[in-house]
Amino acid sequence: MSTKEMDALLRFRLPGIAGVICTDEHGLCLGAKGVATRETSGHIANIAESAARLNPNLPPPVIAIESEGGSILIKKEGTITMGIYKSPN
Amino acid sequence: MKVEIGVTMATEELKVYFTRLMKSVEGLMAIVITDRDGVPVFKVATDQAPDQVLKHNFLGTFGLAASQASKLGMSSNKSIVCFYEHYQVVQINKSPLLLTFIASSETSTGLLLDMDNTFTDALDDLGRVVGTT
Repeated sequence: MSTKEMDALLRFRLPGIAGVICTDEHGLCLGAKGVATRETSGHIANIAESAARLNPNLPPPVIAIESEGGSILIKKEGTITMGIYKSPN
Repeated sequence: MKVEIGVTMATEELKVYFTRLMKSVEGLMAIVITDRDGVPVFKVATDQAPDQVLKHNFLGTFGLAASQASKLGMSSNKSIVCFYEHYQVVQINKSPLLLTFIASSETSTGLLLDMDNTFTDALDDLGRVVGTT
């Protein structure tokens, strides 16, 4: 996902999205937009990696972390992990 | 005597804290905190950690590398990541301290690069000690 696509995701396509982050397999940040900070890339990748190990026979799951301040959706796809920050409705 | 007991207790507490922290990251084998010359201030390691990384010549090299990297005209050096076949070494410049993390090459590098933020308070205390000596 290019930074242009990240911008589009934030601005036009889906309202309620506050931030987007992409990381590689080493947990290094490939891009972060909106409220997502580059420093969180390692944690995002680590959460996705740990969740995928819960059932190695299934494809990596979508992880939803919900809090009062919003929610974060995390999904690992191949070597790339993506995190989407949603603002509370 | 009282001071000595206090220092021993603080060191023990730090050791427990850093050992727990080390175990919380999969593949992390050692955390070494040194001064700017590479002299170890504090270290915790598992049995899997290679012996040579805990030696003075290895730890001292980073101080030199960081100071040389700071002269390249891109402001001061923040961190150095060294990837090997089986290991990775992440070294973070937290002046006056240098943090060294030795981990498996499978460990998330991004997680190690952000680890200094998880123990800022302990680092501030250690930094004060090193800064005054």
